[in-house]
Amino acid sequence: MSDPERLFKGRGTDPEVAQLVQSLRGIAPDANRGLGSWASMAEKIAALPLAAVPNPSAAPGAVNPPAPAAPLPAPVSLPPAAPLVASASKLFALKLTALALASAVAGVVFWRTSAVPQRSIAPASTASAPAPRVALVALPLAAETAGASSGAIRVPVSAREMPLGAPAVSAALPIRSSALEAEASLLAKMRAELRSGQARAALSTLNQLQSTFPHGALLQEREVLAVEVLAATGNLAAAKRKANAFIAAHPASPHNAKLERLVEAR
Amino acid sequence: MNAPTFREVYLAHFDYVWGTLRRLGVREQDTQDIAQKVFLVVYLKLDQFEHRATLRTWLFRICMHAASDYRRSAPVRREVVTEPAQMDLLAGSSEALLQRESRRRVEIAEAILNRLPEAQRLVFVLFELEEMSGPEIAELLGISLGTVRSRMRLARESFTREVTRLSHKLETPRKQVSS
Repeated sequence: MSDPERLFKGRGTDPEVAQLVQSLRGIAPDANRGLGSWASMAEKIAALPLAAVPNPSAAPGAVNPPAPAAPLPAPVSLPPAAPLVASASKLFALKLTALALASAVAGVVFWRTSAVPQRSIAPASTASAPAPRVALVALPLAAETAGASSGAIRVPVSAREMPLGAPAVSAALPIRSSALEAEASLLAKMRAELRSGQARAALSTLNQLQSTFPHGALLQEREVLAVEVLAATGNLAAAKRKANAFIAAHPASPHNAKLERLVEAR
Repeated sequence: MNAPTFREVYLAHFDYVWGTLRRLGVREQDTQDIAQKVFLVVYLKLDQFEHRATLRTWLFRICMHAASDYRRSAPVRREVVTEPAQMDLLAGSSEALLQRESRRRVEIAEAILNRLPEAQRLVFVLFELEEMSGPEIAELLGISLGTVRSRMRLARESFTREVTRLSHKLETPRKQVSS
């Protein structure tokens, strides 16, 4: 048995049906919407919560992904992606980058003003004169790598630079996405409150998030934190319900293992 | 062959993702938002994309999950829009602007689509709009070809029935449309 004739072709079907199906086929955004929204997309990626980056265990045998610059394979319009390893929240990612760059500059300045460049603090490369300079520039990044926790997640620094890859777009459009920023900062506040033991405050921030951004961009992230908040405020039954609902709604979410641990542990 | 960069995928397939989400029941005003969520997933998983399926099929699958999450999170709002009786089907018809007319047709078609049970809707969209074959749909959705065929039949029947029902309604215009 083969497939029936498609309705939009209108053979043997009501022309009105064919026309309506045809109109569904033609649904498309306004011209250049994709191009126009690229800047805000890039912004969202730059603000990506690190916890939302897929758990390496989700991809079989991918503890060390084959392509280190993976999330942005071989960007053509961007400077070479230098993956920065960081373990802090997404809000800190950019700060870390800034910090790294700042310390790099400071490092170079220090080296340049230093009378004895050979006594570089970079251990591996003291052989030739130009080497320390390179090492110093690279050092802050290396320090970040070393300082990151074992669960470190790769964050492409270049995500932040994406709008630069599309100057025509970024020049024409506002890059800031203030709603997303507001949502992200509330989420960060909630996380900070939770981590510092202010469960009640975290709960009220959660309520604020829920009412202000009922369909926020960081919904999954929020739901996971909400489970923790509920558990922290002693509402274990509700925490379990929420965790189970989340797992049911997002069966493939990288958060699930954590949620299961969280609920089982109590 | 070089793997496409995220930016290339975004720009090349944004319209497709946008349209797919709309066809899967995401309201126009929410589509931009949900499309970007889809692309966040694309961004995170592009390196894991194996070329076992076409990029489009892969994107469709992500859209499918995003739309289902969306419906779960916004059931009440969806109910409001998808009730054709509440839509002013005759609005502006005297102006007969072509664009307006086609927009209205899309709204009607969407309202009908929204009335299909989810499982049938997916098969309908994949077959009638994506023009995938029965076996391809079976593989994508992980269901048997027999199930695909029966859902396809039911969906096509209800779609046609709804069109007839609505056009009967339209033949008895309620002239409540303000001038």
